[in-house]
Amino acid sequence: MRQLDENAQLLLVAGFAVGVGIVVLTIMLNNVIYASNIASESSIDTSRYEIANAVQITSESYQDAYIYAMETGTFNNTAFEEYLHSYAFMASGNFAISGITFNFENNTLHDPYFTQNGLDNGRDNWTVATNINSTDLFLLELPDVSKLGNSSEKLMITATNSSGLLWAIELYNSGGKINITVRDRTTILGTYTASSQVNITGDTKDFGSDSAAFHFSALTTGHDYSINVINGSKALGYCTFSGSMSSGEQFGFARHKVVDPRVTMSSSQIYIKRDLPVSLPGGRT
Amino acid sequence: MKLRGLDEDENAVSISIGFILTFAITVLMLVTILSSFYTLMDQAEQKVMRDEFEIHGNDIAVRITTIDTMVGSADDSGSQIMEVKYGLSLPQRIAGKPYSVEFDNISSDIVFVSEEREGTKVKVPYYADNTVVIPTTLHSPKGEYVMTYDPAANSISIS
Repeated sequence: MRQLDENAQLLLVAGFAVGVGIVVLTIMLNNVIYASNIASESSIDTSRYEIANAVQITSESYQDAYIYAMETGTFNNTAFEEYLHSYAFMASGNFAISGITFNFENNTLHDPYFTQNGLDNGRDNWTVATNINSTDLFLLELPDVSKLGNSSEKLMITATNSSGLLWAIELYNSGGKINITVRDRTTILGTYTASSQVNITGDTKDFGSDSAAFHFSALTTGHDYSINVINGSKALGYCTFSGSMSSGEQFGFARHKVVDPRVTMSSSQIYIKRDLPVSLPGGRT
Repeated sequence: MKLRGLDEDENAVSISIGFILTFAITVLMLVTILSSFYTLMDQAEQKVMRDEFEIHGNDIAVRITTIDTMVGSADDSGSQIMEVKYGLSLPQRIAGKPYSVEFDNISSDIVFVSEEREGTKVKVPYYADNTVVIPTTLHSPKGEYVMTYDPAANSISIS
């Protein structure tokens, strides 16, 4: 009889082992579920892309509005305002679908400085374009010579390549007239005076009334060069550049006016307020 | 045949000592198994925390970089950011424990740690080239934070 009792203990041990096994499995499974189910809240926030889009389309809309308002040759402020009003209405509606509020405070047109953003506090020294193969149009107009610096605060525009300066023009105010100095890397090629306008590729000044030898094409042809502005805040005026890049693409930049609207956007996660200087007509000539 | 002879021999057999030995061995085994489970659980908990900290750390690093990139690109284009407020929502507890988030702008790391346990510490690097992140330490029970860009100081603060 005792022999039989001892055999039963094996069943007890086996039962105990199964019990422990179940406990171990339960704890381990629970642990796995615990580890894999504390998922982080989704933090995919796409509003940053919406902001980048808003900046881009607002800039382009201002430029398009300006071109639209200039269709007749003179600036039509009513058309300009209507275009922007329509844009604001449609843009705010479109962004609302993505859960973003969009607003911009329209800004009046200003005469631009030669700084990077066209504002008087903009970056003085900047590059208009790089990898230029040829320039077809290079016009400067300074309608208010009193806003041009004197000989110690010259506005300088240069064409440079990888080996240095190819060509430069310096402009400064001398008794209410624009004093112009044209130079290459080592020598002064000519000095002129003008009242308001300089056509560098056309070798004329003051809207063609006078000719001048600016030597721009002669000194830049065959080079891969950049056009740079130095001391841009020392002059107020308009500029137009166009031509072709080394890649064969056309480039164009014109600045006749500048606006500085304030764009405000907000979503459930982000709020941003930024100024957005836009050159008009900019690159959409 | 000899074994059968031994089975019947009950000399030097004590039921009490047998029971005590069996009981002691059982208790010892249970304690060992339980402590192993406890260690296993603790390690799993720390691993969960580190995984979660990495997820949230990367999320914060992305937000810092987003603000930094916006400031940098605005600056490059001659524009100016006047104000940015970026909401940041973090769980009040991870694996049932509160934690802290330290922003170290010397090493450019976001350092997560729970209850000062070294095993839970995670450092997530962030990148800010155009702005400065103000060093600060957040404590998780608050839950909701705001990342603010200050254009005057060109800095990002988190509070």
